[in-house]
Amino acid sequence: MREVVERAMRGDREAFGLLVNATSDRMYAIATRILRDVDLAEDALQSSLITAWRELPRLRDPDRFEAWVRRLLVHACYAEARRKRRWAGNVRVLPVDGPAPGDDMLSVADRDALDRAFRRLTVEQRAVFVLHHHIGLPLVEIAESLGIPAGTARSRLHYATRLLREAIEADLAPVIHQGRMA
Amino acid sequence: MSEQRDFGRIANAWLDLMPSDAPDRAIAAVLKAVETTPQVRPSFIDGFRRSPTMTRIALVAWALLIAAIGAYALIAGAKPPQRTTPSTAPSTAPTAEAGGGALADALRAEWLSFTTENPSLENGAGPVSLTIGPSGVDAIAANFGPGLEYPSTTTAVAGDQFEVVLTRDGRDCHVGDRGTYRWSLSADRSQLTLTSVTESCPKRMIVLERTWARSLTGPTIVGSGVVDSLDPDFAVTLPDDTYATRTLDDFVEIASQAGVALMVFKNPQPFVDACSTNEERVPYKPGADAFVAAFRANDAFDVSATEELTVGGHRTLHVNIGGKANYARCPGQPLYLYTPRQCLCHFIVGQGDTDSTYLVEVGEDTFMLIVSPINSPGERTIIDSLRIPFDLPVK
Repeated sequence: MREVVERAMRGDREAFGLLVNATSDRMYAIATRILRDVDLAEDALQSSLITAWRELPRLRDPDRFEAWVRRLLVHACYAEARRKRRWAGNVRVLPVDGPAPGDDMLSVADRDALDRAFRRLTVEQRAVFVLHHHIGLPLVEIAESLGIPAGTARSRLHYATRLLREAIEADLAPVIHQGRMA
Repeated sequence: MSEQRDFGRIANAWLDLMPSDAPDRAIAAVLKAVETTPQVRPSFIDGFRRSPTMTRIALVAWALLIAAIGAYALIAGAKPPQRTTPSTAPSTAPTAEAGGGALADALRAEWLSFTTENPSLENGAGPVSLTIGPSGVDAIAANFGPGLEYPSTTTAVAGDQFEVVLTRDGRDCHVGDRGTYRWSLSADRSQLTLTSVTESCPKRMIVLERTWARSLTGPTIVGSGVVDSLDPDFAVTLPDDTYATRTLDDFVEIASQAGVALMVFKNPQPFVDACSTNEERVPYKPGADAFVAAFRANDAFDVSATEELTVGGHRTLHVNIGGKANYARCPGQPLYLYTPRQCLCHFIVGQGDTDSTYLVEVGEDTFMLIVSPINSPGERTIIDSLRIPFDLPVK
């Protein structure tokens, strides 16, 4: 990997293509989860990879390529989220293609509750939540990766987790209530 | 359902719902952009940041010494006429501008055309495109065939002319080949006609010299153009602004920074139950009347103000479809509306919200249009500008 990164740093487009193929799925997965929009995620992926190509000669440690490009991606997600594209008024498309899976772990109510609560988070809080829960990065690494203090990463994760947990619990309440009434 | 559910597992299951495979088109777009994007070489400052600490100290000391000498010279030889600092005499216009400049912003777009079979290019008939970069100075053709992309820098050389310089060897042409083209835009700026003035790469001339239609599915600052992501292509005129689009199967949304947006659905198919995420669909029946009837039969929705009109020569129904406020079966929840027939997606509306919907019948197909802001003064103008099907310029 290091050798490929070094070739790309010297302007080898073929080597960069290998890096794109090796990392783009993971990056796209992060972007779709932060932005909850496949089109915005695609834009963020493209802009961060093109920035990566342009800035690659400035990368200090070739072994840190993936962390570096992940940081570019998260910042591209911030930019996409703030472009404030205003999609048409009342009709909205849900972010997930296809019907909800029949997963016992995740009820339809959970899914809707999480969708709604997640949209109330700032994009910075979303990023920390996704990097922690989906990628599995420890907080210290998230902080380092995003260039923020560890305390800030911790408080963002705490706030996001609390809000999403409350959303699920609030959603659960009327179901139990209805059950009792029945 | 247990109340002691594991939040982490639920969160992970929910996060796993989103797609994880980067679309091939996104990767292809990156690799294409990289072909014409130069890398930034490390600057002095980067080198400085990367230098070992002792080297940095030495550099800082050296810089301070230079500054001190300069300051001494300035103070000691204080007579203004003898200063050796840079002259402040007015300069001429920058040479870059004298030699040429940036293209008109209205040219920066993706342009579409339809090429006939051409033996000299050895290409078949089909849609082709020309991208004049939104963020750079490059033009590149697509879909003519291998070697016929002719990526070139573009520089304005006169009010209605630009020069192209090939940046990569193409079929029968070489890096540095130059050409000059005269351009003209149609009155609504939806079409661009390129005419060769000079050209050292004859095949590039065959590729470029034609009339092109502005694509609204690429970045553009002009709102009049063609959408080719649905079948058939259609043309529409939106107010001038910077636009971005998103597409799903048989769905496109074109939205401006100012908040004007057009959503187009092909063959919308209602859901049976507005409260259910099972997304069972009403059996598809073609035509606007069948679509409206399905909503009239659904007590989750209000259907009002049906009006029959003609848009682009096609029978059209204008109807307001809204989610009932405080719908008792699923209070507070968004209501499931419809999906394009060929799309595995689902559109929802909030309870109490209404959309102004135009159903345009084009042969066997129904195209549904929604303009945002809802019921704005410009809504009917946008709808009336629809031309479907739209034939791309042919050469």
